[in-house]
Amino acid sequence: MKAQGYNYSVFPPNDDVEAFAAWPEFLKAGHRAPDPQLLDLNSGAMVRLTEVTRDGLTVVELGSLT
Amino acid sequence: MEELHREYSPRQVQSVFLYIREAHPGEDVPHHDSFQRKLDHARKFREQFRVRRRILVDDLDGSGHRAFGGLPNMTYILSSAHTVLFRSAWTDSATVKVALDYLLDVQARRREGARLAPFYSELLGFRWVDDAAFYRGLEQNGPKAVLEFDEAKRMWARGEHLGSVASRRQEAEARPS
Repeated sequence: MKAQGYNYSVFPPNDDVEAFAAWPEFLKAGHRAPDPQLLDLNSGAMVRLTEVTRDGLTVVELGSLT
Repeated sequence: MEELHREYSPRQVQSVFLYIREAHPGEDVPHHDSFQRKLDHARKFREQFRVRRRILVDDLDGSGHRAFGGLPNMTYILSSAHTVLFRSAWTDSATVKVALDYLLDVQARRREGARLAPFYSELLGFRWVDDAAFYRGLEQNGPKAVLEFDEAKRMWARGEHLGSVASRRQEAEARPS
């Protein structure tokens, strides 16, 4: 999946067939998770995901308003 | 998932919502053309659904989302060592609850001295399908979101997915804004 065209304006996105096809072998249980830098909506601070998960078991849901 | 958060946070389980791209953009909730718009949508999401979980917003290019596989509504459970313990291609709170109960039980047994070795396993999940609620969500995004999803369903039924998307995108980009 590429950054270009990531925020598509017309559904469905160009990359979803590729992403769904690749997912079964992508980032499986037992693998180290990615550590993106993210903006905490409450505090406005930038945080690494590892700064959150180091405190214990963490459920990470990915989604949006739509 | 909010209910799950309320139920499990007293048991030292953290829950975060990683805000990613809009899945079904429409006239009223358009795609993200700036990081500010993405933040505005994340705030609207927090207010509309009364989200108490910590919301972490991905960058505009979706670096975090893409690194996690790029599907529209995934859930992962990560350990304190940042290892994937559970992953689901679709968010279904009942499935996540099963995984949490299992993982908390593992932690408890280890505390009691049980010698437990990890092994790989998989599960085919089954999620509740509520078309009426889904369409209510699409309608809130704007008529365009409804039309595009209906068109996509017809396209998928014809097995025309990839080629059609490319041509539709070219047409959309050629349209005056």
